[in-house]
Amino acid sequence: MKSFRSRRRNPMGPAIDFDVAVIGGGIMGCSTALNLAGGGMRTVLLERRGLCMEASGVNAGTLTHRTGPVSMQPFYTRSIAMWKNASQWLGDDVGFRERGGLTVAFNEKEAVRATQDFKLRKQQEVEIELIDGDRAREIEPNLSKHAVLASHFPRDAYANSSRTGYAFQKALKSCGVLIMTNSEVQGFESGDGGYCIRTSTGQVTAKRIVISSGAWVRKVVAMLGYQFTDAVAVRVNMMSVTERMPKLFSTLITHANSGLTLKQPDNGTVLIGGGWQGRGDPYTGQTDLVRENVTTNFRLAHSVFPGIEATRLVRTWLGFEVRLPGDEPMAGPLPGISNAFLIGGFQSGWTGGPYIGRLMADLMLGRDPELPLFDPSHAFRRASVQLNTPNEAADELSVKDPIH
Amino acid sequence: MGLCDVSIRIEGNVRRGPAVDFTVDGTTVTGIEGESLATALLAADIRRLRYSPRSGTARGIFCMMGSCQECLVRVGGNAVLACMEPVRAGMVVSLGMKP
Amino acid sequence: MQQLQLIVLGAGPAGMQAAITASRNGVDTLIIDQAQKAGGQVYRPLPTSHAPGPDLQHDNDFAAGERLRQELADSPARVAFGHTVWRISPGFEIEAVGAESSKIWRSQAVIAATGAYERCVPFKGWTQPGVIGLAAATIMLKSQQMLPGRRVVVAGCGPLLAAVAASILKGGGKIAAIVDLASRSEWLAALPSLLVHPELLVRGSQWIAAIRSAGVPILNRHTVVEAIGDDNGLSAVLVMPASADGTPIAGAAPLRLEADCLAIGHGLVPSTDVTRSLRARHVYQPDRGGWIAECDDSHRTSVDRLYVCGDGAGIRGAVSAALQGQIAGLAAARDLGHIGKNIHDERVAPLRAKLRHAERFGSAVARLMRLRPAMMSVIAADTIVCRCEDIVRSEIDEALNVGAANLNQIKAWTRAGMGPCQGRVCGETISSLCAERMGGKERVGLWTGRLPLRPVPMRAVIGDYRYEDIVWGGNKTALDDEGRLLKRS
Repeated sequence: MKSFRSRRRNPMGPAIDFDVAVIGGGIMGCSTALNLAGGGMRTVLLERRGLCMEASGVNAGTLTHRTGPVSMQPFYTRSIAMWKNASQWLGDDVGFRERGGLTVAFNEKEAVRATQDFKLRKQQEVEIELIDGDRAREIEPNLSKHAVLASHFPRDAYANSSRTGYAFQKALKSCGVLIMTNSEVQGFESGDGGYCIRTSTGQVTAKRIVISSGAWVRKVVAMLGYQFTDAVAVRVNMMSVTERMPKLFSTLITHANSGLTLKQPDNGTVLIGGGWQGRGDPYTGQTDLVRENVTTNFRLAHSVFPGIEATRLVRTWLGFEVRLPGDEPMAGPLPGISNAFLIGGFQSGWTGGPYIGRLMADLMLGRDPELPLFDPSHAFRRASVQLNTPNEAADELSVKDPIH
Repeated sequence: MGLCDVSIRIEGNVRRGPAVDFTVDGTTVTGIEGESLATALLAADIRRLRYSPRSGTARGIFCMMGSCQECLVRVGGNAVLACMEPVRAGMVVSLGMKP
Repeated sequence: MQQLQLIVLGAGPAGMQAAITASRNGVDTLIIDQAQKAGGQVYRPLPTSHAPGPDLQHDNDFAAGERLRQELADSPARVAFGHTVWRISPGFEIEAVGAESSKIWRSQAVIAATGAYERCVPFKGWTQPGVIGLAAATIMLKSQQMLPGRRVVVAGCGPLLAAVAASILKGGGKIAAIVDLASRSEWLAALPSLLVHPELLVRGSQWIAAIRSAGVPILNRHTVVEAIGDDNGLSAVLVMPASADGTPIAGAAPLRLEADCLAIGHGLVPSTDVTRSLRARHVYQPDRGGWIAECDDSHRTSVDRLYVCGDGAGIRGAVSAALQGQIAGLAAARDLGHIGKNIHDERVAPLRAKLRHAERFGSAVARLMRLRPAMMSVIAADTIVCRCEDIVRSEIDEALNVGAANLNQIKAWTRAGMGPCQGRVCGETISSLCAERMGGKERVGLWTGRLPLRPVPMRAVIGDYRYEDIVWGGNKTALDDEGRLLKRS
């Protein structure tokens, strides 16, 4: 391995030394960096645009215990507790509101599903109740008269994901993390001391790296000479928001069939989510709505609250959410090297970020993570033996996004 | 209110269509069929069309071209831009309320 | 769903000429506009129920607009007026909502001719009723034949000041003052270029004569510092002498003007919503009004079969817009295979020559109307900079202090630009406030193009349906036939 005896000078100034470089400023990267810095590591966070502007800032901010696969429940429960407490550890409450939630059913089939789901959850969440349509309409007077059944979850909550980047920018700065935004990683050189990382705004050196690059992970790992064994996919999640309107509802609404989230925060806008897919390419930045999905998403919203037809749609966003091979998340060391780590690919990553980032940092700080992490090694094959020869994939995947 | 304020309607260059009545928050206003609702309201001395949602400040016509969204009112319950909406007899206009 | 060869977005002079030219050269063309009739802003028609009197019929602008509308009607181009386009996809699918119905079309090519909107520099009290744009005043006067107020202050820069003031006087209104940022010497410097269109200069001097004979005070090198009024609107305007950079001279005595209307404007900003949504490459050119889609001399953008022309391609005025529309129409006809290279080159050559000629005038006027950046720096901390969301300057500064990376992050952190105007009114201001901190307008960037292009009633998107017909599944990740995820990254 090459040593750093003849170290190239950083064109921006003298060579900078960090204990860790986190590559990718979404919730996973931000949370990991915050905890690493808290544990005493000199940390730099490299982000090609701005913190939490991609999937981490473009999601419905839903915080319920019904998120994600059942096996992940312990992680999400702890993470939601952290969101509730964000003003303590993050210095910003990120608009957290515990308004309770209703999962609504409109027919027999949906009612059966809702009831089954309810029974499963009742084992863990004592306060929840199954209620009929009339009782649901007492809680939400504008609820459709066609709703026949609902589960009521008094602890359901949500926060404002578009504030996440702002909160972490402040917290990371005050922890002494160097945040390099508008800095796209272009290549690595590794040596005895760790890594020399070339970015679009200059060079940094770090003993360790954490790759938290979300939808762009394939390009970054390719720079290290790694390839995934199977396809990395990208979900293109649609979120919509209406103009402000008079108060229509106050709880968090979901649907028995999933496919709908509705919130009306204090400012009166209505946020419509549900994971309906658009089309898009993270490397060009082009996104496109799938009209049928918009239609269905909004018809579901309208079925719940007919009053929503009186307002106007003001904006939609399409956010890129990575799905790693096998749909399995990763949080652990890259196979074969002791100082490169990967974190990402979580369903509802925004919900789980605060806690999972802490676990990741614990692992790297030599502490015992409270819950087991997710070993990435099964998903990789080495493209080449030399670490310093990035494969062609890295060059093919040039980011052509013409808009910042 | 209730009478056409002819002094801001410029005479001499056009032959206007018929005068028609419509209501604004329940009060009858007279305008000219087909003219922009925004200017019909202005001619009737109705300058405040709504309030801004966060600080509750009065707003009215600003761009006159359907861009700024400041002249948003309700006509027959539907949100419309007054500057782009033609006056019709009997239209039911509701102005924006203080938040 | 209708399939077309070409859709022209916007029926101002550029759009109308593009549709006329393309359709006459054999292209199956549709032109769409939000308004009930073609004309855009500069040739905005009278309401359908109004008939022009003899004076108006002989007015150059009115007559030009009528002629162009007639030419469009006589051309093979189809029209869809009263339709607001809210959705456009790569490749191109376009959806618009009309009074009665929604329509969807597919097209091989799109010409974006969406024009421009007013540049507004915030000042104390600018949001109250009675403060309107200069272009807004022009629209009221010309197409509604309405005075914007009974006693009006006309302020800002550019030839529109004189045009608006003269119109108000002619219509029987009073002008409290003309408050012009420019000095007389700036006008003189522009004169040689303005002489390219002597007929327009003559009109200009007629306006000045009318203004002088009415005894209207013309305050050169002055700027508006405050609009005073209450919930019912404006009652007075404070102005101060200004430096060449447009900022008030500290310590100078303000002048109070009683007025029920302030018509104020500082030039025009090209509309880029369509080109941004389709991720065309944009460049920042202050002498063309700011950000514009990069295009070649046939108006092709970096996106295949997407063209841009008119003020939306850079502020150069109506004459230039009309010529650009013809050039874009010919390019589309050529690219779609309706005319060969030789015919195209033959027809486009004289148009390009006329355009070069019109450029001189257009660019001189644009220069007079350019943004004076210092005006943005002096915006007070408690002045509203985002009208929709009532965001004041200090909130933008705070976000910059925390370290916002670009314009879109400012939007996420402060909500500026998230309101119904979708950043049209505040965009210039916010990006100017960011520019110093972020290292220039290019670094600041543009608003990411998002749909809908304009706010659209939820009712129009939802349509009629039965609950039992809803098809589930579009929220599940797409799988291939082996159950593997389809989308590769």
